[in-house]
Amino acid sequence: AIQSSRFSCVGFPLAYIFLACKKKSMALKLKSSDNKIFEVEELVAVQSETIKSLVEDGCANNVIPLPNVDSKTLELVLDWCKNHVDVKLDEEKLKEYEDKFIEVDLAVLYDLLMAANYLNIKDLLNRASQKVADMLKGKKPEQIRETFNIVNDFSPEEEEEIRKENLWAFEE
Amino acid sequence: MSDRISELPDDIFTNILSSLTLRDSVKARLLSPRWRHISAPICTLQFDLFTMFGIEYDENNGYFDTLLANFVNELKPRFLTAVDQFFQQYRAPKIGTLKVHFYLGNEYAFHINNWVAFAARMEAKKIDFYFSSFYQQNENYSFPCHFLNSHLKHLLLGGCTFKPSPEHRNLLSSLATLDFSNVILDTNNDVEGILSGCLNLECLVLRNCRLPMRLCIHDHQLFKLKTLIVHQNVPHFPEGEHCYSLKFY
Repeated sequence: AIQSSRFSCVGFPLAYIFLACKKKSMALKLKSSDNKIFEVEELVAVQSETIKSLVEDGCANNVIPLPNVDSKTLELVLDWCKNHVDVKLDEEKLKEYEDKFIEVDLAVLYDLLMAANYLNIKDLLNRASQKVADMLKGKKPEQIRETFNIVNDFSPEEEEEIRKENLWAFEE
Repeated sequence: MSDRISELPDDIFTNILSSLTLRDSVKARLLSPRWRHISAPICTLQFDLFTMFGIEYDENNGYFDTLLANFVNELKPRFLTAVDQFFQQYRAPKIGTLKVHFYLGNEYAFHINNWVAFAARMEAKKIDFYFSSFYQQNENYSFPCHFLNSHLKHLLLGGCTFKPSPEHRNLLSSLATLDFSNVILDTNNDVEGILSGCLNLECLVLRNCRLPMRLCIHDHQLFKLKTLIVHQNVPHFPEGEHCYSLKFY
């Protein structure tokens, strides 16, 4: 008798959770590194492969902590995800959105790269990488170092050696 | 501001590098030691007028363009040294495809043979050579068949010579694709002899190859063949051919 009553007790909430999961798009709660909670639709959040696998493993019932992403970056990332939910969206409009989205300063771009990598959002990672690549394209090494604050710790001899090894690439 | 770009983890770093052209990614080696020793995962190594010199051109229209001919002749030594240098510097990772489209003939066999050897060392799955010449004055590059190996699945040749000696024919058995354009085949026109070694061939394309008048492709030889494209030559098919898609022009 005790057993059966325990069953009936536990049975109700279990069924309730099951039904809630079955609903088309559940809301997920994401917590940024600076402890801000973002409530987003599951469809939006699961564009992150990392979050998707958490959901599939049933680990997404409570708040999902994202200790590597701050709230400022997470807000941007979620905006990207929201705009990529509807695959039927006009391609031209999507491109327009992406181009505008990625027009950010370097510090933000690095944050986006790190977040996209951690959350495993392929299209965002590729778009952000492309943006960096565009800034490298056709530039002289000196210009690139200045743009990205890269410290040149080659000795003049080493630099000469690299130029010699790859002469063809440095010829104008 | 600090140098955050060089602090990015390897996988992001290589993702950025793989979005660059070959030339720009090589130039980036000069930035700092971090940049010197990282290389993007390369699926396709492609060398042509565009990837090396940024010159856009139409491969099919260039033949009689004397301006381009003179220009290319000047570029040729630079092209050869560039590719040689690139391979000397290249360590890992393995490559998928080696693609060279340029104006070269057998007089450069010394260089090109080294490239084929490089592809073999890197266990390339696909070799795609397209060698044009301006006035047909030079001998076609003769593909070194002894470099064929079990990793190479797709062989695409244009403007070459392909004459595997009988002892090399068994090396053809791992090929799935054979795509020849303007290729001079076996001296005795023994195309069937070549094909008899291609036991696993799935796709055979022969465009403007001086084929014999009558070419028999037997289903017991090429029993895996799915695609057959023969341009300018009409092959004779025996009964019971196992071809799923045949295209004729």
